[in-house]
Amino acid sequence: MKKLTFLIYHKDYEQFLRDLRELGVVHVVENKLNQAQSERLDKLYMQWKQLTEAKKMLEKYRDKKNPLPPNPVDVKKGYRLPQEIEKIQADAATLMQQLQISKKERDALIPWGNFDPENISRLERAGYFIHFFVVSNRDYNPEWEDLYNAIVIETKNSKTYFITITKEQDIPQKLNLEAVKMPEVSLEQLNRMIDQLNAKLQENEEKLKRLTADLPSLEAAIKEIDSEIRFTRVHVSADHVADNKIMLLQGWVPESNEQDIRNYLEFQEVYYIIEDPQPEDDVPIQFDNNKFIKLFEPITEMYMLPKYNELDLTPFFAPFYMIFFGLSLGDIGYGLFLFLAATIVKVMKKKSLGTTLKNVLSLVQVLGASTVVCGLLTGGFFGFNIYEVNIPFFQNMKNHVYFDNNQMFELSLILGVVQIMFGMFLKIINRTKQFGFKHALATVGWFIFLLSFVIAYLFPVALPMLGTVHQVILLGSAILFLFFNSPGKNLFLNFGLGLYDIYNMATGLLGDVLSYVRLFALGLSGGILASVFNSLATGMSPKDSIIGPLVTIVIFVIGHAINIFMDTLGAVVHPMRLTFVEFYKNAEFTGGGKKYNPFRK
Amino acid sequence: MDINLLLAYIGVALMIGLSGVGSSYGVTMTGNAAIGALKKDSSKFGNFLVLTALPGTQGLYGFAGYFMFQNIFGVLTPEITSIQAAAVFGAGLAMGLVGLLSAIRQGQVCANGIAAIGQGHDVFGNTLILAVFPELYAIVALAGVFLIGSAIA
Repeated sequence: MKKLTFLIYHKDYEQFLRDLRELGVVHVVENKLNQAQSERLDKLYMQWKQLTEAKKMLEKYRDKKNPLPPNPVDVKKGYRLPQEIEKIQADAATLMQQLQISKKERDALIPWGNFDPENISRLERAGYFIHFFVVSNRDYNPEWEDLYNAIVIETKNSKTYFITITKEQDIPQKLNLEAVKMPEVSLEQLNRMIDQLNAKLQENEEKLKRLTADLPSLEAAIKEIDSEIRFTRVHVSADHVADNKIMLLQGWVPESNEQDIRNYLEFQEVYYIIEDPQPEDDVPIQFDNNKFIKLFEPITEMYMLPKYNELDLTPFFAPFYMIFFGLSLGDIGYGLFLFLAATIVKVMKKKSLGTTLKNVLSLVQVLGASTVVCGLLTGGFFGFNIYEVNIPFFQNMKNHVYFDNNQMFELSLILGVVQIMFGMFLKIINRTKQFGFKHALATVGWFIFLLSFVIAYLFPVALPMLGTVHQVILLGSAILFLFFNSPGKNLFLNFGLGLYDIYNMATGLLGDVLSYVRLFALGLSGGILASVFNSLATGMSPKDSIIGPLVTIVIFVIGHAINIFMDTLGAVVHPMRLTFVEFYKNAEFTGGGKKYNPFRK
Repeated sequence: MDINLLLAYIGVALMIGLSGVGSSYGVTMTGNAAIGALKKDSSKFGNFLVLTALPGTQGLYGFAGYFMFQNIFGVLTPEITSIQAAAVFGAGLAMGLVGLLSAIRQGQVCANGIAAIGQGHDVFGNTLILAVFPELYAIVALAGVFLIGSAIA
């Protein structure tokens, strides 16, 4: 990466940024403070939010099975859509409210039946007052019928609905009851109103549904806003100098693109500097891996990107990750299933797949294939064991590759030792690269110390365990990690730090290596569950010649589906932890880099 | 002897029972958190599903432990010796306790992760890695069960 610094005259600034965006290779250093203060950016974000919410809304109303034929893309229309939707929704809310009120009135009217309120007022003008009352049955006094011409209209839910027809107006006071206020409309009218409201609501929904045909316009508008936001974020990131006349902008460009930017700048009235990054700079990271290793980059990104000038560990953990995944899943059948599933999706959706998804599918293919290979060690195939089948080919293979449980247990620990030692080796390289070999001496000491034990264990003839030669090696390496662990510091301090280091190593390494037991345990428990589902499938099915096999198939499919899901989840996550915790720790990975994200459309 | 077999089966009961209870608690916690978080961000269901399933493994380990004694080591027979029975009991107790508590605690880690993702923090990968920490001990317990089993078979 090369560091770029531009000084641009404020009138050329806008055009300069547009050209820069066209080039699309510069990672512009964004200024968070300026961005937070920018009103223009706030407005854009607000608009973006409205648009995405409108999109969410319309997607809810879209008929997924047979969507409306999309209207031609019209970005302006896309921008108007949120307001239109808002208006329709506001209308709908008012209608809903009216509907609710009408429904309540209708409920109140139902016991009284259908009558015209006009008749009541006509009676009133003639001097007869009608009052409506509701009382509980036992409070109703039949004497009222003689006194006030009370007429019971309805008794329902232990309540009596009655009216009085009198010439006096103060019946409520006389009865000491509160009169029910009647709506101004009749039941029939109310029902008609409710129907109308419902129809209007329906129409509203239809309107929203019709708007879904404009989803492409909305999407285009969102895309435009996205790019506008990006542009504005860069735009406000420049520092104003010399009375706002000059804009100061910083960025990064990969070495391979340096010439492009030079060619462009030559014809511009822009003052610029291109320089190498300084140690204190926060340089963006761009991966540089081959096609195969690239597949594993998403895993790296899940944790942290390496710092600039730190070793990218992706190529170094990728083979381990592959093997670990295979061992954790450990079933030939499951491996085949993953491999085939990924292949089928890849072939079927060849055109519509994005690069990211395609890479993920390729990764699944690789991991599936690795599972098939690792599965051969134990021979599990959907819970059955291929080595129990009496076919000479399998028996022959069993003699060559079969591992029993104890051997698998040891294999996981051995893989752990290998990866941890490899991690230490990388730490030596990493330290040498970053700070110089002097700073790697202590790690070299540890590496030799541990390696000597491994060699002595494997080849006792060449290097007898704790023999004279071995002792000399141990002493030499101990001097390295006891006295050279922080160069340039006091000897005694070094010694103290060295002792502390020993404590850390002794406790840490043991735990780290034991952690790899999970590879064995995951493979074992997955295999056991798979075989249990098989016995369930054959054992639980009824002895019926038709239903029996059917039940067997159902249990088999469901059981293995659950098991594949859980096991694959475990097989993804656990090797990931081994990578990020055990391996990264021993390789002394710091991380924290930012991804190279060039400014482009 | 019958009493030996009884002891062994109590061990099995603890192993399957406690780890199963732990996993049910764990996935319930994560499930509840996921439902709450869906309200805020329904597009992350895939992430939530994965995190919800994580504490479910302990119950499976408990079951796998039982299966090992039953089929691989074949010690759960009327001819079981008192030493074998004690071993099964001890293994079951260890697996059960670790399974129970690690699943609940793992559920809490995952539930927090789910809540955070719901609020818009992109911590899916970090939660996955952190959530696997408590699980290691359940795995170690299962490996322990395996070692105990191979010692007595």
